Amino acid sequence: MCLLHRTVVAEEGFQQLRRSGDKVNHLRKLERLASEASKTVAQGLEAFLVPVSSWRGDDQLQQLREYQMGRHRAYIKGRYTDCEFCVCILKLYKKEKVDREESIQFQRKVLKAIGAPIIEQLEGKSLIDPNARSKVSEV
Amino acid sequence: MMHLTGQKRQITTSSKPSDQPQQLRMEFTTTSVSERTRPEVSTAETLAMLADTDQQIKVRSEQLITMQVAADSVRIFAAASKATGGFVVIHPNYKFLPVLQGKDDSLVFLYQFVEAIEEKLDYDELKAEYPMLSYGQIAGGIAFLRKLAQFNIENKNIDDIEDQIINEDQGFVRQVRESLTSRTVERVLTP
Repeated sequence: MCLLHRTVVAEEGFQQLRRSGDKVNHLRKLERLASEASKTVAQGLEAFLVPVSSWRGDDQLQQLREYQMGRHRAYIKGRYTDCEFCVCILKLYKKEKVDREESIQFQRKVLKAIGAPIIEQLEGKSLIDPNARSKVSEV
Repeated sequence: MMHLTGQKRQITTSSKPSDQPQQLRMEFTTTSVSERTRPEVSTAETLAMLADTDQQIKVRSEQLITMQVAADSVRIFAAASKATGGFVVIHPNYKFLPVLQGKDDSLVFLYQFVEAIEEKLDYDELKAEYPMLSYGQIAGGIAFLRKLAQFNIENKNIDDIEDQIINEDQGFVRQVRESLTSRTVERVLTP
């Protein structure tokens, strides 16, 4: 049964979620998952923590691994072998000014990265090609 | 002694029916061996060339299998969409990444929709429904659905792409660095 800490910075994030009317207690979810890991068992929270690919090679940042918390992200330090995890910071969906994940700019970047031809075809506000339009969405 | 001549073939895998218009093509170079002699090529060289050809065929065959698997996957996703009212769009324009199209011309990636569902879920309520499952299994089941919804024909890791976009924001990266030296609030002893 592993411990879960949180930094002051992460606590601000959790409080921001509560203030925005979020009914689900994300901290409790993390605690429940952390409790399923132990020094010898890499389960629970440990099974979901993934390294951030673009932080590899950075001595400071590569200590952190990412947990997808709905559309939010938690950056967490620690391993099951220490039996301690620490939530250092949250990145809240729809809360950041730059590259908000629901924005068309963000979607455009994702589609461009997977080589979707739609990017070359369409400009402006929509990413929906009339030819690719779902018939049911027009109903 | 043998003489090696190159021959190019094209293999076309069509992913019909009509809701999957994309055709997968690959160029396949094979080498046929003619009986003509060429004194300047030694037996060792010929064997080496044949080994190269063998390797090339092996690599191309693996590529062909990968493409066939991708085409089959597209077919499965398209069939699932069709069987569920066609609301989820599986289209080559998005490299078959499943999407929902809003009435206001907005696009919603299906994997983000699954994330939103997860965000609203109370694990304790689910645990009460399925007491035989661990919290890890509950979270894992939802994470599996999310990963499936990230399918794309290029087999690109969407999470890595998102991370790169997010980390272009140097302001956020600075905040992350600062958080590493931030003091902790309290120790939570999990029950």
